[in-house]
Amino acid sequence: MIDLLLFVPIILSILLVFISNKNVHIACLVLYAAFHLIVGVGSCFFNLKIATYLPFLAPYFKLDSLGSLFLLNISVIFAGVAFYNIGFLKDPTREWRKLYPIFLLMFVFSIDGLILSQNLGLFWVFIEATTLSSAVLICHDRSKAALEATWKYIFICSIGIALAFVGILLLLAAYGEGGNLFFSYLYGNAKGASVFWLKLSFIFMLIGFGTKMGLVPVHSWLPDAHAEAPSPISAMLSGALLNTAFLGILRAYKVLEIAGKGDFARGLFILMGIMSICIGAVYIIKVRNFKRLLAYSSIEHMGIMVLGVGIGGLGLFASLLHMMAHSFSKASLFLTSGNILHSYKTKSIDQVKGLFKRDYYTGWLWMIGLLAITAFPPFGTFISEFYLIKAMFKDGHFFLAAFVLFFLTVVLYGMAHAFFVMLFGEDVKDNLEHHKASFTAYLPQTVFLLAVLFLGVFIPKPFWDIIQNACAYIK
Amino acid sequence: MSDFLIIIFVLTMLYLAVTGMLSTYVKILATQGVLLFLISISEAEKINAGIFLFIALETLFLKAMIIPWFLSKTIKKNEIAREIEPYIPHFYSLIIMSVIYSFGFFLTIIAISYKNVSPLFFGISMATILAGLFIIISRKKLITHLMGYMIIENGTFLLSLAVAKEMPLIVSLGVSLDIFIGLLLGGIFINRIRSTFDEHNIDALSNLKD
Repeated sequence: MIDLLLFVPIILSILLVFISNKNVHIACLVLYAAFHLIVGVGSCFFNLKIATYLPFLAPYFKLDSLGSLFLLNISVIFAGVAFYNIGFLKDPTREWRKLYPIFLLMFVFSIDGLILSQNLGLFWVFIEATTLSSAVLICHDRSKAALEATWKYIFICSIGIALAFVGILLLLAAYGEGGNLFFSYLYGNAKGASVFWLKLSFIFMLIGFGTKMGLVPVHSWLPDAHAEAPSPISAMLSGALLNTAFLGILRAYKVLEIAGKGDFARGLFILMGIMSICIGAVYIIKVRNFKRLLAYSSIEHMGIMVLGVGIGGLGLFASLLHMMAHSFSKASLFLTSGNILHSYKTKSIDQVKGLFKRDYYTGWLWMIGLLAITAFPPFGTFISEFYLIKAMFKDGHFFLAAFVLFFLTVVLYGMAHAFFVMLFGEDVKDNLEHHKASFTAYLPQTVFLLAVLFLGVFIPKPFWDIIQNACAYIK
Repeated sequence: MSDFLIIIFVLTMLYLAVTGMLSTYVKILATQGVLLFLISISEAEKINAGIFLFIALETLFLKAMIIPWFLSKTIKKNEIAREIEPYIPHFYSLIIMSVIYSFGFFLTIIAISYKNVSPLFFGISMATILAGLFIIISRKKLITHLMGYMIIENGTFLLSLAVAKEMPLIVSLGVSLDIFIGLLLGGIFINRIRSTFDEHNIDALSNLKD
């Protein structure tokens, strides 16, 4: 199965280079997404055995209990995005470029590769591959702004990832002669490793993977890239890519945890988490571009996730639950923002008025998405943030909890203010013909939001087990 | 022997701080490729054909030939002016570069007390990474940013010589492939930015902000 996940997208994208029929491209994308969804859901809930049949790949690729959570995440997000892409790519007003489906496949391939890889060096190779493949997607519009965003994205992320590579090399130094980068070796021998090099390497890896994850102070690429990418790609970036960088941080954190220096790492997590929440909240109030608003909200939520790991215990569980809930709600919001952008032809909050009147269903999706992302009960994000606050109280971080709650309130105010401006009021361009999109522009968001709601009302036992197993893997 | 080569490497970096010509940057990058080849050959304890081939491919072929060729082609194609256009005078650049490398030697002294790493390599590679970041933030042109990135990569290569004798070949190949594709994409984007903005300074790229 791993072989299929790794080779099918490569073969498909090579074949698609020679085919210029748009419908074939769309069919390939959707069929592969459906296959990916079956593999992802099957491996999590139906005991589908994921293994490789090629002996030389066997040591490098394996699905472990932490990876299966992330595989589920990318499967669902990619399926939704591929489905949304049917309408997005068929739209005659949009310029058709066949690089888009090809590089989307390569992007998913590199994310799969890094989720499955069992060697930190290989993990690095794939995380750099995600940067390179998604750069072409971000640049899809070929506008000045898109070019600028793409340049910043490639450049800042490549430097960040280069620093992560320094961290990986220092990790090898910590293990001394005969060390290798397989996770089994790293975890098995962490107790004997040199503490000085371990700490130094962790700082580099946190900065490096943190750049990719969008943690403050190395987040500067994120708002630009998310705002200028086509909306389905923004959904992929926020819903899947940022999380995979989080996977790298978690895997590096486990080494320190085993070596008995978990406190050091958790302190750094709390510091970066607080900074991200704070900066995210401040900019959410300030920006007047709704896609940038969503991007800053992603920074804030990434902060919440690392903060959860920093608190530890129940906080770790909350963090992983929050990762799933956030990626569904944020992917849904970004896809909906694509509908708004298509209908109003502007990203400015102040120029979008009367969304309910112009496109009733998009308005509702935007409204419910707001409730989901700002953690209203009974959405899944509320449950995860509730657990996080509970974990803080349990460990006596009262001041920290008050600080986080204050900034979450600020975020709620900022987002609700911006969203309500867009939802209500008189539509300025009444003479514009009523925008009618096909059902593919609504269905994925509806499913995502239902999933977030479901996570809040009732977490099914198998899903609960998956998150518990992932937590057990890190501890 | 390798200590001597490392000192020459540091000297090339100091020269980089004072030179004002873009073509000199390309030449220095090529020289550094050759130096890295010599250093890795003199460092390797036992050389078999596979490792030798890989090192030669990565340093002599990629770092000393393909990348400088690609960079100078990009410079010619985009008619980028020959001057570097730094934000700060060369003299201050030289001072900052010297401070960075003094810090590198200081790191070397610290690293002596910790095992597993050859201290000089560690200190110099850290300083080179810092120097690459300094080149990026103190120069205006996009192409010099790409060169700063290559300097950072040279720094990590030095560090990998210092610690990683066991890096699997498949990983090293993937790493150099990624770096190469990254550079290629960067070059392509410089072409595109040039044709869209009609400028190649970072000043053009400051529209997106809050």
